[in-house]
Amino acid sequence: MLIASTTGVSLHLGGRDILSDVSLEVRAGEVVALVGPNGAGKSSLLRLIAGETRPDHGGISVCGRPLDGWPMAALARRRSVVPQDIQLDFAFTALEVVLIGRSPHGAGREESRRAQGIALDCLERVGAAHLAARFYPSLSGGERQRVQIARALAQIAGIEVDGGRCLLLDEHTSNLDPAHQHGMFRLAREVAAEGVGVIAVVHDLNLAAAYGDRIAVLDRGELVAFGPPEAVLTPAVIGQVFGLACVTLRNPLTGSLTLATAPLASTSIPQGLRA
Amino acid sequence: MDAEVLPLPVKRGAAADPAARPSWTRSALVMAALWLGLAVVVLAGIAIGPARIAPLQLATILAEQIGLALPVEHTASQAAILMNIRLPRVALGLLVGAALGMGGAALQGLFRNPLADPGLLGISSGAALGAVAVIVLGTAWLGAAAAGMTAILMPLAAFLGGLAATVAVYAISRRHGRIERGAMLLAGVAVNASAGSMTGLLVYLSDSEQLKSLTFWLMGSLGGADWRAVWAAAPLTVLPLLLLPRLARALNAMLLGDAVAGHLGFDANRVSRLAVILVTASVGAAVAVSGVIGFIGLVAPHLIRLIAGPDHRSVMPGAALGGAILLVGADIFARTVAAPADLPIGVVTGALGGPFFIWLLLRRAPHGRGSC
Repeated sequence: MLIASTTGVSLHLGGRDILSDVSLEVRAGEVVALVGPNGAGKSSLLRLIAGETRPDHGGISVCGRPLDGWPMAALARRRSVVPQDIQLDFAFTALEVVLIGRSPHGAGREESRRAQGIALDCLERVGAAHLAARFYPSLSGGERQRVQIARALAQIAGIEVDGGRCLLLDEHTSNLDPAHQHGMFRLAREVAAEGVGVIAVVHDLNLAAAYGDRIAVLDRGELVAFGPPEAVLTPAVIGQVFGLACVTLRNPLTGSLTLATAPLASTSIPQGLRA
Repeated sequence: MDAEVLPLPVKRGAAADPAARPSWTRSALVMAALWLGLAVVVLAGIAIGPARIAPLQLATILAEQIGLALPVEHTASQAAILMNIRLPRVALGLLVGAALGMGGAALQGLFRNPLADPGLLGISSGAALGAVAVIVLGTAWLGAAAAGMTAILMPLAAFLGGLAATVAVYAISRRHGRIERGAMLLAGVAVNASAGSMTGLLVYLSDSEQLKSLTFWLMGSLGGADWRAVWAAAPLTVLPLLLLPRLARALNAMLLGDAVAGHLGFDANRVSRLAVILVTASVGAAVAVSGVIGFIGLVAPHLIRLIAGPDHRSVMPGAALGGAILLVGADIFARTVAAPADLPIGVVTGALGGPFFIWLLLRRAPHGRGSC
């Protein structure tokens, strides 16, 4: 089932082409990682799919309908977003922040009891159950990020919907330590396995390779490659897009694709490792 | 200017575990306490005054209004004082206090800043400028007809003045879909200064008759309260009081940013516009009947947040009740402390609110309910 698709999407801002002619499809149950250099248009593409901005050309469909065809509240019950940074100076507890994620599901005593359970559950899933009663402004950057992930999970949790569900992550592990990075990407895979289509903007190519079913490589607003990690994250693509020398390896611990990179000029790749 | 919000401390004690104690229990308790407080202050407001009216006489006079005769004697003047002076004054205090309290709560949510207040942001001074313009220029421009139209023109002009001020502050402080706090407070200062200087110019142009009623506007007072003022203020204050709480969930979401509110299914632009119009209507109407009364809009929501947390579903009704309690209470003080003289209530709320604001700024410690 198709969860999200962009067809020929272009975006211009201030005379600059942010995105040109990007066509991309995300299916239920998969994690698609958006990678690319700074300014490649990853976050812009995610914001287009989130409906924050409109493309100048092209169409976007989410959960089985064009974005324009969705009432905001109905879309919010099946599509949630973890943005890059969230400022919140009001002393909500972590649990209350997660509960705000349940707003699209209405009020009422029945729902609020359900919401309480779902919110605690989602905090548990991001390993933040112990933070439930802490005030959000007192949390560290990494803790806040996990609470926001829990909020996004709670938003699309616990309902059966036609057209599937979609989770958009914009560098959702940027403030996390390595263990929590793996934890949150593993969680993204779990969520995908529940039938959600996950799109994640990822900076770390190794995380993208390890956890992405498919990788979309953006460079200067263009989609230069889109496919399984082995097919896309090749030394040629990495060299062309990032200007880095690259060899691909197998992670001896997990067997997943791993990239070793270095600046082009200063590198001589040992013969035995040359791809 | 450093735009950091100043966090303030509070101990929240045993209720700190929301999982163990559903938050609605706590906010229901807070609401019950506020309604009780409101009842007490209303009774005090109609019982206390220079003319002595005993509690039983109070009850008798009120019972008479609904056709019940109680066997307690009272004079006709006591009945007149109660029905035509104290009751409308308390009623006006309730409306104005509730409008300022909830208005402050909504603005603080909208601007994502616990320090926002109709006074600090220039709404009150914009509204006062509108009202003062009607007083000073009304007769010059409209002639004798103005006298009859003032009752309608004044709230309207106050509303338009307040709206202009809000729109200016909102437009100046909004960049890339988020409100920049430093810019907002500076914009409020600038709008206050501009409106203040124009008001000053009008005061300078006014004759001595006008000057007397101008003083009333600029210092704030419920002294002019009669039933006509109550009915003039009622529609524009009651309607926002009923409608603003419906935006509570959207305002909660908007605290996370307009984009996130959008992801959660709320149209942040629509909610912002609606909230600004409703707050401006209620604060404009309040200023039109009672002049500029500061700090209620800052203090009332803040106290509710300290006790019940920042959820707008409890902060907005709570701040309305709290604002009404504070204002009626301050008015009792204003008209008894130097009786029979009637202190301008703006002087009283300012005297209490100023130190409170300083306390707010100084009592910064990280991360409690009080951080907003």
